[in-house]
Amino acid sequence: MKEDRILDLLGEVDEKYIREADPEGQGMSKFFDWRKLAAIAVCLFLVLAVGRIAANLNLTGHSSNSILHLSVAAAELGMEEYMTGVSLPDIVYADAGKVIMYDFRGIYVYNIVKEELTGFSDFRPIDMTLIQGSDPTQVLADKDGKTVRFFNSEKKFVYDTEKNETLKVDEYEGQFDECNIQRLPYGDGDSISDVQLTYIGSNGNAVSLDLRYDGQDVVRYKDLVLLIKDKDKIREYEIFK
Amino acid sequence: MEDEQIVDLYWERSEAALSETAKKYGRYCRCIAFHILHNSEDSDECVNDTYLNAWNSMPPHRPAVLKAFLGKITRNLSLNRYRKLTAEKRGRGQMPLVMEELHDCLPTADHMENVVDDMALVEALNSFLGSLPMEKRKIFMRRYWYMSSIKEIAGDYRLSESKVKMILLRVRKDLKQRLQKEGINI
Repeated sequence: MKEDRILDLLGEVDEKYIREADPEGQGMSKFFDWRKLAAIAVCLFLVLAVGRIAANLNLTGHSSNSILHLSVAAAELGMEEYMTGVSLPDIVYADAGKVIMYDFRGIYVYNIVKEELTGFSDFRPIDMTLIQGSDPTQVLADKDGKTVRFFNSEKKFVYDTEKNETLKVDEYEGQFDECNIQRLPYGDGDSISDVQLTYIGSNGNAVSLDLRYDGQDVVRYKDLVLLIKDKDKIREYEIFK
Repeated sequence: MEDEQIVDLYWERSEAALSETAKKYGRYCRCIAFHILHNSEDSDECVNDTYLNAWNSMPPHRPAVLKAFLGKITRNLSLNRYRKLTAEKRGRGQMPLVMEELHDCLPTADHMENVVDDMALVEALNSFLGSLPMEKRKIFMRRYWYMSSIKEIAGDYRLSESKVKMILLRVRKDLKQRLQKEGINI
């Protein structure tokens, strides 16, 4: 196969390119972008400011109907099996109230206060399950976690995390302020999980995922545990139980 | 120990060469093998085979960069083992994804006589890599030489996964255009 041949021949390219990309190399700091850090700081400030205003106006709260419906869905989702080696969900947004993550099945919204899955946008019926490869589904949360845009080269969708509704759109309209959630590099001393990257939520808490399973090849979603480090204490949330 | 001293040990046929290699580059080689094979036992065997291959190649070889020399051996051994495991339906990890991504970015030859030889293709790849900005080149090599996952690359380079996927998509597209422009078929 041609991809076999190119893989073999890539092995013969100039050694300077191999050294340059060495995962143990020292070049990573060159990628540290202070503009990105500034953008995250602005994002953090805005989220905190919006959160404070919302708290003062007593605008917080969720629809009990959607929670009831999704509690059932969470239990069903938890029984699905998958092979280890398949990526764990990636976290795209986290604050004091919720964590938004996605994997090949869809987007999950977990309410930390209620300790329940309060939203799920299913990728499977809309054929958006390819999250790697040549035309992957890309998932972007906005800066306050209210909407999530996901798309590939052919289709575009908007998921409203508060209404738990997914809409197909022809074009995206209006400004979209993406939340660039901070992630710690693998092996960072502040990481709280060995199996998933650690992310820093807008409230400064470290958030990650872990698996509670007995080493079998097949694990279930119910084995997934959300980890949140608040001050020095790590809290665990069984998302799909 | 300096690389030159380790290479000298190989040339002196001292078994200390193997332990010094394992001490200095064992983790690096294992990382390459594990990304391809996604299995500890198979990865360890490939790393041990790397030492054996290095022992058999030095002398006569005296590599300028020992780390890259060992990395190449590990990568080749791991790819061969991966193909064997895939034939036995045991392959997993990043490889199926990497293969799928590369498949679409390569022009196909209409006739066998148009297939370019290996040396010309390596030259074209070197020229293409040399034309890329350093950041994009590193990301491309991390994915297709080291077989790192998108998540790892994003974490190491402090980029979003979407951004990494987008960079790879564009570089693959550029590679295909470049090869087509140069009349190189695979």
